[in-house]
Amino acid sequence: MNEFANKISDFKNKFVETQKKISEIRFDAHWYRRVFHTFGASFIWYYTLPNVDWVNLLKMIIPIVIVFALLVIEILRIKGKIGFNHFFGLRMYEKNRIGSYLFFGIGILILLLFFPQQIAIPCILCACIADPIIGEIRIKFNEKTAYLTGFILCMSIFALTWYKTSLIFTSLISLIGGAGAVIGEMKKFWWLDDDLMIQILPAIMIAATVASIQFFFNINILPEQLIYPGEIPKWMM
Amino acid sequence: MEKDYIKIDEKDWKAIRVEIWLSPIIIISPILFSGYLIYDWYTRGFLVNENYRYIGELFLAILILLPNLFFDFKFIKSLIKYNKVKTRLTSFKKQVKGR
Repeated sequence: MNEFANKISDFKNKFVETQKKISEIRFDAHWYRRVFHTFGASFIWYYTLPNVDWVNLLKMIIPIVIVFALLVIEILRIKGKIGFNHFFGLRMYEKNRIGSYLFFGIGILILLLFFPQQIAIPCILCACIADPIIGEIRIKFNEKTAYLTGFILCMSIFALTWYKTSLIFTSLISLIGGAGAVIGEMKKFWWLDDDLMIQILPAIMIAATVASIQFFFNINILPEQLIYPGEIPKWMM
Repeated sequence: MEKDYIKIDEKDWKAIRVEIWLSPIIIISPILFSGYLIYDWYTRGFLVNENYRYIGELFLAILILLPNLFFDFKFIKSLIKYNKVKTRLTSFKKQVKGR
C-alpha cells in the first residue's frame, strides 16, 4: 500500500515538473531575431523593379503603407489594445516602446525613398548583415572585438558596393561609412534604436561627403548604380 | 538596457506558431533574391561581356547569401530542437494524464 502511494506521489511530482518544463520552453527568439535581420536584405529587391510610371508610383506607396500599418499595430500594442504576447521575440525594453523591427523598417523606408541606391544599399546591408554579426561576436568575444570586426565588415561592404568609383573615393567612403555604421551601432538610446541609427547615420555622413566634394571641387564621386532595374513584361505595359 | 526577451508562456504558443509560419518567407526570400542577382549578372553581364557593370550584383548576391545561410542554419536547428522538446514533453504529459 505504501509502495503504491509512493508511486502515485512520484507520478504527481513528474506531472507537475513536466507542466513546469512545458511552460518554460521558449522557442529560440535569439536566432529568430538574427534571421529577421538578414531577411531585411530582401528589401533591396526594390531596385530591380522596372522603371515604369505606375511601378514607380507603387514603389513609393507600398513601402509607406507597410510602415504605416506596422506603426498602427505598434501603437495598439503599446496602448494595450493588442497583447504584447502576440509579438514574438520582443525584448523587455521594447515592452513600452516602439519595437526594433519598426525602427528597422523606418530606416529602410527613409533610405529607399530619399537616398540614391549607391548610398542606400550598403547602409541597408550594414543593418542586415553587419549588425547580427557584431551581435554574435559581442556574445562570443567582447565589445572591442565586435566593434573592430564590425568596422572592418562595414568598410568592406561599402568598398564592394562603391567599386565603380576611383580608389581614393572608394577608400574615403568605406572609412566614413564603416565609422558611421559602428558609431550608429555603439550609441544606444532607449528611445532611438540602433537598427535605425546603423542605417541612417552612415547614409547622412556619406551624403554630406558626396555633396561637399561636389560643392567644393565640382567632382561627382557617386558611382554608377549597382543594381539595374529589370524589364517589364510586354503584357503588363 | 535589459536584453532579456519578453517571456511567452504555454497559452501563447499560438503566437509562436504564427512566427513558425512566417519562417519560410524569412528564410527563402533572401536566397531567392540572391539567386535573381546571380542570374541577372550571368545573363545581362557575363554572357554579353558587360561583366564590369554587373559584377556588383554578383558581389551583392554573395554578400547576402552567405550570412543568410549561416543564420538560417542556426535558426532551423533551434526550430527542430524546440519541436523535439515540445513533442517529447507533450507526449509525456499525455501519458501521465492517461494513468
